Amino acid sequence: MVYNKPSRALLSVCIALVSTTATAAIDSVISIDNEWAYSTTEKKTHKFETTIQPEIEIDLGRDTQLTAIGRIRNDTKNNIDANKSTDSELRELYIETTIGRSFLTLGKQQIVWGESDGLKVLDVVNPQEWREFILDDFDESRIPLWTVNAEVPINDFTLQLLWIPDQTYHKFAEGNDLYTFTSPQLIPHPPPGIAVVMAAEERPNNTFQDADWGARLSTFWNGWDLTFNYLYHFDDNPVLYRQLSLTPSGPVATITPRYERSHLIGTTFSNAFGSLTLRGEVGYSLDRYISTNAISDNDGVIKTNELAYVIGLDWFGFSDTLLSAQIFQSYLSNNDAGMLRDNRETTTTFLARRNFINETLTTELLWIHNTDLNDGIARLKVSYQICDEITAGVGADIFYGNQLGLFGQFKDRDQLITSIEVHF
Amino acid sequence: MKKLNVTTALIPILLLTLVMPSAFAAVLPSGDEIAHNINARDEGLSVSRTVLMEMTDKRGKQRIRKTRGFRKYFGDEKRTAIYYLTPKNIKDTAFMTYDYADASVDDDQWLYLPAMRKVRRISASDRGDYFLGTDFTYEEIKQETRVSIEDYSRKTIGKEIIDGHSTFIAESIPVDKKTAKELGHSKVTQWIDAEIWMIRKAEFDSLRGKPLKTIYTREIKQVQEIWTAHLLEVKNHKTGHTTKFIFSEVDYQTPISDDLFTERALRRGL
Repeated sequence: MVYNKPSRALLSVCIALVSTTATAAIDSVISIDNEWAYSTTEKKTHKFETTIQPEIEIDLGRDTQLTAIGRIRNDTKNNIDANKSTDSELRELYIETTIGRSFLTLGKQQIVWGESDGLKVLDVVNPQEWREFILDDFDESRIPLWTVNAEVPINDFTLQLLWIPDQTYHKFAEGNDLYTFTSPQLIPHPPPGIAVVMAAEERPNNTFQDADWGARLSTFWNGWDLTFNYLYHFDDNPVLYRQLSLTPSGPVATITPRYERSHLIGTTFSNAFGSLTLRGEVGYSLDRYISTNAISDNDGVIKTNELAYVIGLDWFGFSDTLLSAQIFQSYLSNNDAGMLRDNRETTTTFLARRNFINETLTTELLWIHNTDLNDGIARLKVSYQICDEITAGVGADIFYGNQLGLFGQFKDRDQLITSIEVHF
Repeated sequence: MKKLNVTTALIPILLLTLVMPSAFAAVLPSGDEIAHNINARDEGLSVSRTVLMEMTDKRGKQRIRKTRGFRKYFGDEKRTAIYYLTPKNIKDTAFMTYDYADASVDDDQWLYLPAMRKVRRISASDRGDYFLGTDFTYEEIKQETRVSIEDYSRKTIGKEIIDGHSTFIAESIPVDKKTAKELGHSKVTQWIDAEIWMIRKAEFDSLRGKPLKTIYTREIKQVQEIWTAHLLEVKNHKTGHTTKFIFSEVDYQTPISDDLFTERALRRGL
């Protein structure tokens, strides 16, 4: 595990605070989760994964607490990640303390913004691990970052300030991994006859100059929960710059992944009206870069701005039941020919969840549908809490649509799942 | 001795018989008076307590949650926050409600689910839904040992001794079908302590008029001079499921920070 200088500094602060504590109340939990996934298209097991997640909380006194969360994963089938069957990491390590009425959280942590479920407009402070596409819970796939996080109450508002010196970005499945992206909407494909050379990735490396900054102002006003967000960050998707050249063996496209800065300005809102809850988030990003297949383009990318929003409605009209629908749309300010994605994208989601037997049995259907390419995924899940410590579940993930789409590219990855979670 | 005329002797008895019901009724407070007395009972400007929730299904399988609960009045507005401490799989779950004095204004409610790491706004109109797997509804959690004045029409139907305490029996019917549907029951019969105005027992009928559940309020003791229930027990007659709320570390005097009733506190937990 490699930490840059600010990360080491934050780690040192955490260790120093713990070591100065003479007597500390300790609370710990270990979660063990086993998931078996059976591919209905290939008629074989493509995942048998056990995840062990130890978590420890140490009360250091004076409203100060240290939290450490680790994770060890082992997939005996070696399909999710073709290169390794086992990985382990320190997921989170942070100190929480209060200064007056303000909260300070220092260390490796997750910051969650936004109001939507399963879709991301403002929940982009932390990068994501795409190892299992979107099948992992966001809590599991979000990559915690070394962050200074201060929450300061100011009259009826709370101002959250973030400084993130950690230059970790999205982690994608690669090569023969089960969920490697192939959709031409995501991966540029050069015309036939042009060879492709991948150059080394250019990552920001000045920990202070290249740190991300963020601020969120939140309030409760006339029944509305409102936030106003700003994030000055490196987009977690590398921009794939292309350089065409002629060599003795023919034309070559050299692709250089490079991370670029972006400003994100956004807002979220939610309120309840009788049995309905309305929630939404809007984000406007400056300086996004979209790959283009147009040979005439100099560097293979188009600079553009993006407006994205999610509006969701939750309906609690039936007892023990939640029906929820969301619409997500994204508009690009540019619409040049050859751009890998359309300048408008629309995705809808529908969630039905019902609890039975005093919330020990839960059934759930989540349907995500992209209306542009008519592809999507339906996820069914039934879980039963055997006792406080053990929950068992069965489910199915069904992809559909053509292989050009984000979801359709995995249409041969349909799976049946059984799972068991133990907490002690 | 003068022989007593039977007719003469019966007259006072008959008169007494005629007068007694109205005389007896006169000593019974009306249903609304009882409701107002219940709500006028001192419950402190704020309280903090630990609540052990024991949920047992009809086969005897038990689930136990330990929570820390806080309630505070901000003028006429009542704010409640409940933080889950155990078990491990739901630790840090938190629930908060703002209950406004104006009954026409819906409450505001939030739920923090640690798995999502988000505070979610939830609808307050489904107050008859059961609260997080217990046999208490969201409405009952909010009301605690008080009653909603505007949701019911009431009448007092008698007196009875319950656990050695004199109680008035009051019957409350939701004011209309919509309210009954929201609350999840068609009738509540309550046994209210005639001295301290605490509901000692409440029987609920389902929307179809069948027995739904019974709530017992037990171990009523004074804490810092405020009558406080230390055990609430509910038995659901439809499912055979029971829930016990066991209260401890009840404190009406230690000041509670206003910040505890905020979204950021919900996210951060105790």
